Amino acid sequence: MIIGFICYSGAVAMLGIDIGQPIRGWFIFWHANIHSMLVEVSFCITCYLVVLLIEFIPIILENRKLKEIKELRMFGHNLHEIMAMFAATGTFLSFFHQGSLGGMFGVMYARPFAAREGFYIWPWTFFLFVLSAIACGPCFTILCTKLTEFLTRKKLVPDNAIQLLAKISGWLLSIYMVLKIFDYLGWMYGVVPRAGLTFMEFFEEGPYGVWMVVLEIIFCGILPAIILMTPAGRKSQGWLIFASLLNCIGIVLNRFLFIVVTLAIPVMPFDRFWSYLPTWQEWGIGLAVVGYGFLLFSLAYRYLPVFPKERELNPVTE
Amino acid sequence: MTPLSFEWQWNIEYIIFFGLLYIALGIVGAGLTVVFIKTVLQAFGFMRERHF
Repeated sequence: MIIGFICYSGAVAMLGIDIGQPIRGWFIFWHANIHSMLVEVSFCITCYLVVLLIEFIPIILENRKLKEIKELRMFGHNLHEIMAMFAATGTFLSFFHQGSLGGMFGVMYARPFAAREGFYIWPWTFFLFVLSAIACGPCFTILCTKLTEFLTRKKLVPDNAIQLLAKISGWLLSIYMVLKIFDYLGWMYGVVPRAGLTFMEFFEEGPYGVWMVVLEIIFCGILPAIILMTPAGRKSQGWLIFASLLNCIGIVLNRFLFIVVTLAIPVMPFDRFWSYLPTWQEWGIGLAVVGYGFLLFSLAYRYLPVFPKERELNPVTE
Repeated sequence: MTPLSFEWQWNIEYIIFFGLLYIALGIVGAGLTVVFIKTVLQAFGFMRERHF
């Protein structure tokens, strides 16, 4: 939940800078273009950030000093009591946020070569984005936990909890990979030829290439799925971290290939192939968000009961 | 944007799009209001605090 809060607040901060005039950010809500997928994504991200903040409050109020204030303790407990309702709202919001990113090309009529068939108004990529996000989330949590364990030199989470997360992630990733391979085949042999293009035209210029698809599907998809589904694989610390890392890289590659590469190819005779490499300003903003994440997580670990089993797993030896 | 805004159009797209947003915001707002009221009642002794 804390990692989710860090990621979403970082994303909102980045979006605030991306829109150029953050002071006019509220225009998204007040003058909304309801045909824009990005408006829906903005709605979902901001509302979900509010929900995450509400979910974070009881943990903040569990701080041993704040807990001494009766009213704050009561407030925290009352919030905790109805947290299931907030969590359900949050699930709905995050579902549509991830899905809308996957369904974005369904409304980009100028680039019909990326939009898939689907269910009602939702292309298959809508559901694939949701599934891939769910498959990757546990692995990202494992990575953050392992990094914290490495930095603190303590065991913070029981092995069975990590193993369960890895197993869930492995199965979800394997289901996703099967569907994603079918999606790629359907796209390569159906959607792309119908649009008068060939698969290789997406990788003709720029630093992109078919190697990215191979990397996404085989090395960062099938390989981590096999490691995570195999009990011996996920029980080995090294393999578990390696597979989790590959899983996360694969999902990032998937987003890059689906969005950036599709936007790169020219659609007009006077257009040219636009390759994308972040500018130093973009790297700066990205790294600032990473720094903010480390800072907030460190503060949470220092002052809040983030790992309730920490004492039990690290008994003090006299 | 609300149904009172000049840009609002009474069609199904607006109703679904903003309807879902206002439902989500309504649930969050109602939940917080209930928690505030419960806390005030407990703080003034009109309601018992539940212990976990």
